[in-house]
Amino acid sequence: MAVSQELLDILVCPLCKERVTLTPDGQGLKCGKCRRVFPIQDDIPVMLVDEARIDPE
Amino acid sequence: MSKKHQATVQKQFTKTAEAFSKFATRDTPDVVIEKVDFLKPQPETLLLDVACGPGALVLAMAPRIRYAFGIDLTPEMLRQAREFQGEKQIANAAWVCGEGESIPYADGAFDLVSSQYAFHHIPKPELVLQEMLRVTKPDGRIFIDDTLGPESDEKFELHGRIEIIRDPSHTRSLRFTTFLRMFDELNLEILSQSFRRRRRSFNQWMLRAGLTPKDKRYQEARKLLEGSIKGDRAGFSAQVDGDDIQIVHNEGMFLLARRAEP
Repeated sequence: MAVSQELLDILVCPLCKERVTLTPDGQGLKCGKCRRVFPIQDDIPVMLVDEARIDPE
Repeated sequence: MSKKHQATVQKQFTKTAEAFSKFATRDTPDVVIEKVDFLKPQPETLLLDVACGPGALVLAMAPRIRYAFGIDLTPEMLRQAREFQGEKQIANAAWVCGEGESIPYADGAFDLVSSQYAFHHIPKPELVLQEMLRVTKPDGRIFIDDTLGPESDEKFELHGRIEIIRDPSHTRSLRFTTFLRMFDELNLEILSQSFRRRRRSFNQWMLRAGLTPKDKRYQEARKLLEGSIKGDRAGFSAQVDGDDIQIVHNEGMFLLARRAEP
């Protein structure tokens, strides 16, 4: 079970409230504004700021 | 929510996930049905349940609506929720690990945003309610269901002490009057409300938090509860029942909407 499209349509960064997009490897969700990447663990997005890494670009 | 309290909540609910989820999804189907009836689900509804735990309400609502989403701080609860989803073969539900104080969803994304038995774990419930309101459509609804604390200051204090000994992630059960004030401050009106007195066994209640008569915290809570029986000093309406004590939690359900502009 992957992350559903219905979820991706409305999910945002908890900090900036900007839309997030699936990373190319499908393992994370990236905020277009702050570049935080939130991990997806067992198909469940972990949208906690402390669990995110910041992508260099 | 502070990191310390966040860790306390995660620790408590990871430890008790299995016992809690069995209780929440399997032992009380009548309560879940009562809530679904109260919410009058519509086929087009998009629901978000905040602090969804093992997903009882999400999974009960999903067959009656378009899509149901659950968010919770504790990953173990969400794993349970997903397992139940698989057992029930429900396709239109999804889960996210996140915080009620910063909900990771777009403004106005949902027709109905609910939260059950969560506000008594949250240090600043008004912030969570504000976030719930943000992700609710302008004509959407909010549903709150929680235990209510005693109105008397003395009972409120002892009630809270017993709750916190049992579950350190408990902050305080809000009083009915506190809920009313909070709704008013956010310009919310109550569309419907319902109250119930939920009678339960003290021993079962403790067990759900992972405590048995051998545990120090069980003994401490029991001593305080027994001492409160005369005069109902903790507001639990406690009554000795053989080796057990029967207690009562007062609960309130509220269906809310934004108040129309004058």
